Amino acid sequence: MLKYVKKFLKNFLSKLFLLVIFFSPLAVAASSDMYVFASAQKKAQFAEIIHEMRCLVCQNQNLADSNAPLAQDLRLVIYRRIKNNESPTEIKKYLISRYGDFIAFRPVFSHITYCLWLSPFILFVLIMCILLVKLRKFVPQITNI
Amino acid sequence: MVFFLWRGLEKDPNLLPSPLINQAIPEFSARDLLKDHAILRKKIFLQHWTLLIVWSSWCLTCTEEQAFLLKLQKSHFIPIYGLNYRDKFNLAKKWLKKQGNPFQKIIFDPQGLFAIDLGVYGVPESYLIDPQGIIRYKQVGPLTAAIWLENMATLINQTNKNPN
Amino acid sequence: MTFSYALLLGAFFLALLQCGVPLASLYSQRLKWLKWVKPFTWSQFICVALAILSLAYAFLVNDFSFAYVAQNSNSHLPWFYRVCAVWGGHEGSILLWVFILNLWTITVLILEQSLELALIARIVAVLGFISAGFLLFLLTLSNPFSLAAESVRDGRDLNPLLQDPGLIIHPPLLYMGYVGFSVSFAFAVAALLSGRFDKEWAKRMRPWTLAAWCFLTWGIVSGSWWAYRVLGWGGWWFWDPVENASLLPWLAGTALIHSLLVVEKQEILKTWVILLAILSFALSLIGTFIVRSGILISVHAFAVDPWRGVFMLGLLVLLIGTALCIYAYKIHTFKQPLAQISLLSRTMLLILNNVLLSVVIFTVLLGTLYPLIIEVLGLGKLSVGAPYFNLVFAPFAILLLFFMGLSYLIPWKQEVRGDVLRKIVSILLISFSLSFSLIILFSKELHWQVLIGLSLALWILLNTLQLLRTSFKKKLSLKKIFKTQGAMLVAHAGVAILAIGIILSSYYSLERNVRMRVGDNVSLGAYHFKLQQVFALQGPNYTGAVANIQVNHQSNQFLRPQLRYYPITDVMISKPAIAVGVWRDLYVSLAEPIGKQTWALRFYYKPFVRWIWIGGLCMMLGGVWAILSRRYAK
Repeated sequence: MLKYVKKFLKNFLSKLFLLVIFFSPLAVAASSDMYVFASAQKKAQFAEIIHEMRCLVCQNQNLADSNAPLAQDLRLVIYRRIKNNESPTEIKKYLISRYGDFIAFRPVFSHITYCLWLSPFILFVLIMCILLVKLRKFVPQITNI
Repeated sequence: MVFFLWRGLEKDPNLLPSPLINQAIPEFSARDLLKDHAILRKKIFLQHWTLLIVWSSWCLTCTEEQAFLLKLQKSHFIPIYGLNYRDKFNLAKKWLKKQGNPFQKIIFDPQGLFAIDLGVYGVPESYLIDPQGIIRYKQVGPLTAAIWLENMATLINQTNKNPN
Repeated sequence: MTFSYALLLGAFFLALLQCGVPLASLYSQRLKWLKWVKPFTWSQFICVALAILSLAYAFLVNDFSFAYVAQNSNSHLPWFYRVCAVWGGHEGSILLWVFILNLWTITVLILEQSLELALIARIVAVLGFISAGFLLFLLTLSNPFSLAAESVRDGRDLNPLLQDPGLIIHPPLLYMGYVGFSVSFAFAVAALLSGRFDKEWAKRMRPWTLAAWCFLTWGIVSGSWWAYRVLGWGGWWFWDPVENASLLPWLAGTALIHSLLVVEKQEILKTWVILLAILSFALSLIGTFIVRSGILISVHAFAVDPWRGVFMLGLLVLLIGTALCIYAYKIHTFKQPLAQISLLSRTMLLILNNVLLSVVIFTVLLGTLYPLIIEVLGLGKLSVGAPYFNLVFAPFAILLLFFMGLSYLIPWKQEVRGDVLRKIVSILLISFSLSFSLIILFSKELHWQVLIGLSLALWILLNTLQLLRTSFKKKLSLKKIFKTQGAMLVAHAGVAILAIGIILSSYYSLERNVRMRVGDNVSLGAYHFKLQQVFALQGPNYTGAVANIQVNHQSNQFLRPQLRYYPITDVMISKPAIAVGVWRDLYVSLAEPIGKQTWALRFYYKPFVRWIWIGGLCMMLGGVWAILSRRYAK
């Protein structure tokens, strides 16, 4: 128990120390982010797009995770477009216009993919209906299960 | 389901069909690797068929298609342009000296931005562009005589017969 | 023709005998032949065991005259990886499959001594048939003992991503699971053949199914953990086709375990159980097919050869087709008492559970195969990835979690009365308010998805406590509770822990992608990292760089991500450094240098991510518990 208290105090004090250091003129050199954004919303949009697009070189990774040169280039292209105030929909549309539907991990909701998006739910409803119809035949008895 | 799995065996999962077939080549502006002061734009593709080859000095497979390209260039059948992808100026020039130069013009694209606009995802790739600047065919992988004859040359001949 | 190949050839003929002789003897009533069942099974096992041992030996002594050894190993590879390279490539992995199949067969033979010989004979016959099919595959298209065309001084080396402790455990565990479902399959087909499927049979079948399920759970968990540690971006599940291929039999197996329970209690749902057993095994085979045929892209893909795909597809059709034919032919012989299922009973919940799991299986299968279907139909080429699966899976997961907790309030053989309804509502409200307060207390952001997910996980845990309380009230001893319900409580609690891990790590993770020079700092949440030094690195078969990163200015807490280059395979991989914790992981990976002194680094803060694997292991423990409590009950 005492060990935990000691550890907690140490942590707390070091954080306090850090806070002081940060605001003092002795602040040490900081690293720079690879991608800097004007707002948190833009940062989130960027994250959303790079996670939803496939890297075409390392084909089972998305653009966020891949270190392939093409992925780096595409991230830069997306980054610049976000800075240019393009919407995520427009950017995704651009990438799909150049690379085809394959690059998008989220299949577009078109007539080709109705089956894909809707069938799980339709199937569920269907089975439930069949089940209920079948069970209507069996009246719940006093000799219960 | 078994049917789909069966047919699926024939397909190559790594090949990507291009959505830019029958679309116009996008506008761009880039330096010419061969003539440093020249700026190349979309209009270099107009008024004649063009074969655009995407290559780099660091790409090992690109050397495979060099022999065929040099032969094609000698036959003067079609102008061949190059798109130098993500390369260093000096290294690209050195590579050309060593391997020979079948290109009349070379678009220098060190950051790969124009390549992205074309939907390039690897090297080597080749594009067949018609006199109106429309992309008619894309080949992924090294270009061989067989692929050229079967796909690109026949397309040119067909279009010349029926200009529609 | 090497000696090992001869062993496999012998095994093949023995497998045919193992299958043919029992069936022939049963159908011609020459029951004396049945005494050959055990010798044939044992000899097949011994042949296969010797074959795989000889392959392991070849790897150990660097015998590069075998093409397979030359392609997958290298003399600089540490010895334990050399042995594991046995299953690092396609041919060896199929040999492992066959070996494990025979291991299960022998285990069934040993542990089911009390079963009539005629029944064991049928089970063993089915297993022999499967073994024969795979051995034929090995002999014709996947020979691990084929000699190298040209002798090489040294091998090509194992793919660097595979040079990790994960390789030692993940594939064997997965195979134990996949192949284990062949035992349930054999039980099901044997039941069809003998025309007998009663409570007793279901009782015998369940521990085997549980065992396979436990292995598969452990295999999937270890795979996810391995990917997280090795792949460099903190991901642990990608809905990759091969991952889905392992999830599908797992889902079917889960439905099967629960359905077997219902058969044990009431003798209904028998046809459903048989179909599920066939389905689980079919999904295992489909999984094996997908990985090896090259029809789908995956980080797991083995060396591709379409002919192998054709053979596997053929084998799949043969095995499943035969089973389904037997099913159609024989199913009418099963007597089913008229089912009396009250709509609000535990049985009903289990049926609903089955329905939900079936829909999920269908969805995952559809999503995985959809790109292929679209392409074969000539409609273009699209992708179906994580965003789709996550979105579609979520509503069903919510329902499953809800029903899981609900089942605790509706025990067997009890109707739902009014006070149960009150309990449900009150516990649900407590779960929601508890989760709401926790979220507000510990974070600034409230996502409704987190609220629902966390509430449902707490719902399960609270119901667990509620059940324990009720049991204590009834003066049941702790021992009795453990024996009858311990397994279920632990396994379902595992699911709740897993859910918490997934929800919290998905929504509250932080990430920073930065450029740093030596001496630079970066902060992420409440953590502070300093790049102290970058050293050169030298390993047995690699070179590279390692970064020394100090965490929170503590002189003894360092993270050391590495960048490794393997010259033989010409591959560069980034090996992340992880500070493991129960409540959070800190994860750093080093990417290639930018310029002379600057490095690209990625920092991740991942809260509760360990809970995912802890939850998975709890589920597995629950399964083991269930097997053990059966044994003691017997």
